[in-house]
Amino acid sequence: MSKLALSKEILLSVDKPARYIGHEVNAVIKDPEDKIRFAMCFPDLYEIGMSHLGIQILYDMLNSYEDVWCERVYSVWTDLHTIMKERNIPLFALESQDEIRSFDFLGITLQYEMCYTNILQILDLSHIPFYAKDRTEDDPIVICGGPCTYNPEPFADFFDIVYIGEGETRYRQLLDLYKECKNCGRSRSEFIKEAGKLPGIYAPSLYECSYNADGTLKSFNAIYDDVPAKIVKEVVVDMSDSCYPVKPVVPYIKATQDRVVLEIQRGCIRGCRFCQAGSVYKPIRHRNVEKLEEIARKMIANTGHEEISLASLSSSDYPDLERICTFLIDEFSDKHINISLPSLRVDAFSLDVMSKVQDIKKSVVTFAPEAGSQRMRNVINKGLSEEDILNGCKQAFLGGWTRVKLYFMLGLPTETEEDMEGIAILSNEIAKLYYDTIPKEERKTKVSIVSSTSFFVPKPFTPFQWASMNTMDEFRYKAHVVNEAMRRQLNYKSIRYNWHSADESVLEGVFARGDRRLSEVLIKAYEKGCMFDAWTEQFYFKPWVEAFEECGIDMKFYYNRERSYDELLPWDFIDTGVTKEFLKREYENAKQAKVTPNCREKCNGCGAARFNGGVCVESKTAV
Amino acid sequence: MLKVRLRFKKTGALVYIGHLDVMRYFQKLFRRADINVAYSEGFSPHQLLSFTPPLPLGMESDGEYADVTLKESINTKEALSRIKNASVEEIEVLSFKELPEESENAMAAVKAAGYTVTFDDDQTGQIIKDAIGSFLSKDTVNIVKKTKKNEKEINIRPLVYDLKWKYSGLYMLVSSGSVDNIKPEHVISALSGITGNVPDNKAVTIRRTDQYTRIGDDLVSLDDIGADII
Repeated sequence: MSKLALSKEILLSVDKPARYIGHEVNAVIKDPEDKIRFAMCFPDLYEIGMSHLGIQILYDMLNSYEDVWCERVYSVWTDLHTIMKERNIPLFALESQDEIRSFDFLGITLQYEMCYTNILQILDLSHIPFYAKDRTEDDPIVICGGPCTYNPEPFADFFDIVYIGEGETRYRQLLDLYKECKNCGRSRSEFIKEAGKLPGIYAPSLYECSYNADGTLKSFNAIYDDVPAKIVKEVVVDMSDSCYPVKPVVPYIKATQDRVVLEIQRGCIRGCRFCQAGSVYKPIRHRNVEKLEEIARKMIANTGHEEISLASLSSSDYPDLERICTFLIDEFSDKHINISLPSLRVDAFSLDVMSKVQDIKKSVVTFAPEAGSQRMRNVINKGLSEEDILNGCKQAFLGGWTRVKLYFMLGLPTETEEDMEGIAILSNEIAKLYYDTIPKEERKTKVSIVSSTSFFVPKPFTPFQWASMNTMDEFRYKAHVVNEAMRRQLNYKSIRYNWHSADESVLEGVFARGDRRLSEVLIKAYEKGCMFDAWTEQFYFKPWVEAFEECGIDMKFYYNRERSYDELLPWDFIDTGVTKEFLKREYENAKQAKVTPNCREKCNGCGAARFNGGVCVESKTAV
Repeated sequence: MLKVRLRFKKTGALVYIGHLDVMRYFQKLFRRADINVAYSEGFSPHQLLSFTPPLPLGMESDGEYADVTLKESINTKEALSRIKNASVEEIEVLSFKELPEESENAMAAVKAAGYTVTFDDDQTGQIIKDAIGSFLSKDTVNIVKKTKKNEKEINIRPLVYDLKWKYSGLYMLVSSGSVDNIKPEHVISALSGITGNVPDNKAVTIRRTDQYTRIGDDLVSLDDIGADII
């Protein structure tokens, strides 16, 4: 019988034991002899983590190195957590079922703020000290990556090194350095110091910060002269040339995204002012369409998945969209493989494609206007007009669709009651449009409009990084305003309105723009049992409030306070290519509701052109 | 269109994979192995695929079956080799046979199943071994069967077709399927009831050896219904 870290008795007593056994199709098994052992972690449940493309890319890349064995590890659900704590069972990697603590590296990807306490669960169950400073030569090097590392300060104390930017570029160098240090008998701290000199690598222990009397950051400096003062993010310049996992692991239990994912491009040309991804992944770079076709065929053959999906921030901006869609339909639709096309702008083309790949009766047309009024959409630079939305809906209704989903945000800078009510008015307009467009005798069903609002959370490296975030009371009031406005609409019976929880958003806001002093709060909250905070049924606000109180930290200082342009921000030491000057200019444009054209229309001089890739190069050769 | 029956083993770590996940595993396996499976009609077509009754989580088996309808034929040797290349070790497909027309599907065909039971400690094993003779000599052995809604007492003795000690473990052949389904645990608890010693459920390892259908008075392995495709 193959080796398993958990006993039969334990496995049969927990929910979905298949989360913890590995042994999946395409899981990589190597002889551990002389290998650098790398445990790659997504700090959430298996079903969530297995759906993440970034991990698949890095797993594939690291295992393509002969001297490395990369394995996976995910958070364990609360049932198993209790058992492992009670019986002191150490956390293990799925492939070898070996203890994480025996690995050379533990790499954790951080995709959302609400997973920060899960980092602590992973360390705790692995028997690795929370604070990097307390680790010994017996502990793995703990490294993190992912979008949250654009402000790594709230969790910086937990990591030996932080990888800033896209993961494909710098690991080989980092691993070579590790081997060299190991062969020369150099210590953990010596390796960390050398790693901190590599491009894109931030070693928090090599930097120190001090604070002003008002709590703002006073200074943030490298302790040593030979450590860089600024860390430039890593960028894959040529996407077509970069590695791609054509043989991803196929889970037994149904993952959230149980399908082949084709990343057609990275980055976005649209400068939505609230969007962190749009900013930190600049410039947009696309993958060659022929390359994608080859990847798609291989991935379907190697996984046996029955669905294929495109991934990008805005698929409609992909230059060869029509060709890739046609390819997918021709190649796969008669093989019973479903095609899913998210992030498509609703227009004649996309509706035509959707009608070919989906059952119209079941599918939903989705828009993300983000704001209810045109003025507000100009403030956030969302290049989507009411006319676009109504035209898209009209065509969809004529094509047979009857369900529309709309996504909005509340609490955006400069927001007025008129903007909030605009959400209800726009929802009503769309319902009305259905009844005006489709004659009574042709209506098979009522139109269904589902409008959802989330609360705006200002993020680093966006033009709104200085902005104030609303308080919980303001959020609740605003949701109430929208809800009341909905009730006043003529077609309110065709509209459903949902809003997100305000306390989760507030916490996200605190950590998004937090600093190093928050690590203490995270530990306190974890000790009080906070875990899986991204899971609504697991989220308890009260222990968080207590944790902040016990640490003497005011949440409002972090989420609600408007920053001045000359304040030193905790993430200022990171250089994403996009300059602070550009972000300031954009914030000023926002305040005047002034629109900025997208990257293909005009270069706005954001600074990302220094990477010499993607649209920045494209537009120059096109002229 | 032809109907094919696969016999497979499920062992090792994969005993923790549930029935629905096994079904999904086979759907993907057929695509990876490029076996041309037929689909149902309608808006959400699915593979024409059915299985023998679910194996309990944690139990190993040498005799699980899947019936699948193919759009085009493929010879057994080729199919088994392609399937092997696309499989994980611990779900091993052992046979691939064409079923005669109008044969019952795997789920409905099952009338009996064989199990071996091994005991973690010898003492418990001995107690069970000693109870076999007494069990077989009786006409009535009543046990309480719990269902989701109620409890009822049934006589399992006529539903146990064979019971013996074999290779340091218990072997039993019992009624299985949609009517008179007997779980190996029923027999173990009846045996321990005879001696008054109840072994801890977690200290036993149960393995399904095979599943059988009834032809006339005989029990025939589900594997013996079809024939290899040459």
